[in-house]
This record gives sequence, structure tokens and C-alpha cells, in this order.
Amino acid sequence: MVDYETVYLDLKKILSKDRFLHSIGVVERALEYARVYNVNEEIVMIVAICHDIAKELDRSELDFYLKKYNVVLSDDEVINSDLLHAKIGSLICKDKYGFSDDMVNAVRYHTTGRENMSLLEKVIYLADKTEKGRKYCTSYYVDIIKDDIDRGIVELNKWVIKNLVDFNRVISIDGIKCYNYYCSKVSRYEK
Amino acid sequence: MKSNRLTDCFNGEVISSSADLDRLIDFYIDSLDSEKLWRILLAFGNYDYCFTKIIDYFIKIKSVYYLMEAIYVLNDRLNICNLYYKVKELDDDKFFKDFVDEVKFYLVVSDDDSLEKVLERYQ
Repeated sequence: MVDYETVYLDLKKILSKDRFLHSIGVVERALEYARVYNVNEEIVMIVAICHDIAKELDRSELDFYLKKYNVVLSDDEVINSDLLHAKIGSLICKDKYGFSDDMVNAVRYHTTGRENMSLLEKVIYLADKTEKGRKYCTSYYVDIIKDDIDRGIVELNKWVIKNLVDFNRVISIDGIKCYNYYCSKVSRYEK
Repeated sequence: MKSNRLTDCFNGEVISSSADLDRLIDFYIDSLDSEKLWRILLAFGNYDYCFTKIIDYFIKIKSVYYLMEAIYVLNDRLNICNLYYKVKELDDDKFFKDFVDEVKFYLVVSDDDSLEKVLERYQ
């Protein structure tokens, strides 16, 4: 499989400076979570640096990949094209770097989350939301995540959903399912 | 007939002639920047222009991924048969096999005989 140094140098060329710094921030935060939950650090670093590989593609580039990979858009993605970068990005990573299914899914669902995520998916999803450059990121969320990763997903999702509602943004179906799934999972344990 | 007049922008640079584009291609080859070279193909692939330098660069670095990206962008404007033999000439079995597997997938053929028949059409 591809090594971290290769993808690091690749992404440095592909992404703008700000986006690359964000990705480095995600790598750092993801490593913190990986160490707590014993996830393979090399894999976490590779996925984290690659998670926004398609974020800065323009419309014609996205169209190229939609055609190349025969992507069928969900209703969510038609309404909110911002979600597309995760899906296209996961396909590029599989094609270009030979990502495993788990790694592909971690890129695919890093924006919305989903029900029943693997540990790698959770780590990438949460690291993206809590990297140091995020203005809203406080130690409050990071501490909860390190204490109980599923409760971290619930708490962070509350904040994300509230903000999407406040700014009249569409909430993806996967995001809602993610919240419902982990909310009921956490409440079951707390009863 | 597509125009060969280039008047588009790339990375903020206005490309108004083949010479401009050539200069840009040379720059990104020197910078070892395959991603930018692919984006040049995507931005200017519809123009009547020779992209041999880019294709040769992708062969030189033995990147199956970017060669396939070039095929997907240029489609019939790229002679896959010539490309096939250029890759074969390198005498790198693994690279050649990986490339042929991807080309088979692209051309929707399953075996070597069918692939050769399809490639003959490009000659």
C-alpha cells in the first residue's frame, strides 16, 4: 500500500496552503484519537491527510470524475454539492492509492458520519471536526471524544446539526441517521 | 473541427498560444507535478493540440493512474494503441501488466485477444 510520505508530498501539491494546513491539523488530531483507541497510526495518518483530496476540484473536474467513476448522485448530493467531495475523494483514493474498503469509507463519510461506523471512520470524522484550526473546537469536545468516542459523536453532532439549522443549511440523511444511531446507543448505556 | 486557438486560463495564467501551453507543460514536468499536468489535460484536452509531452512524462514516471486519467480525459483523441506499445517497450512487466489491466477495464474487454483486436482499430 501507499506510504504516508508519498501521499503527503502529493497532497501538498494538490491542495492550497490553507487546505493542506487543515489536513495536517486533522492528521495531528486523528493521531491523538488513534493512540487512545489503538487504531493503526500509519493508516490513520494516510487517510487523514487524504480526506479532502477532492475538496478543491472545480465543477469540470468533479464532472470528469462523476463520469469516470459512474457516480450516481443521491438526493442529498444533488441539493448540496459540498457533500460530493467526500464521495469523489474516496473513489480517487481507492483508484490512486489503493485504499482498503475501511479507508475508503473513512474518506467517504468524513463529512456526514453514518450509522455503525468503524473505529477508523469515527477517528477521521471526529478529527476533521475537532482539528485545532476549527474555530468552534474546544477542549470540551476533545475531552469527551477521548473519554467516550460514541458520546463524542453525539455531542459534536448536536452542535453541527444546530448550526446547520441556524444557517438554513440542508442536513444530510447520513448525518441524521448518524446522530440517531449514536444517540440511541449512548442513551442505552446511560440508562 | 475544434479550434486550436487557446484563450483559456490555467492557474491564473492566460494561455493564448500553443507556445504558452508548452511552456507551462515544461514547467510542470520540471516541477514533477503530475496533478497539474493532468489538470492541463482536463482544461485544454478539447483543443486541437499535441499532448505527447505529458503522456511521455506519465510513461517515464510509470504512473498507471495518470496514464489512465489521460485516457479518460482525451478518449478517442489519444491513440491507445501507440500508448500500449510505448509502455510495452519499457520492458517493465509489472507496470505493463497493471497498465493493461486498467486499459482492459476502460475498453470493456476481458482477455488479451479481444484487447489486441480493439487496439488494431486505433492503428
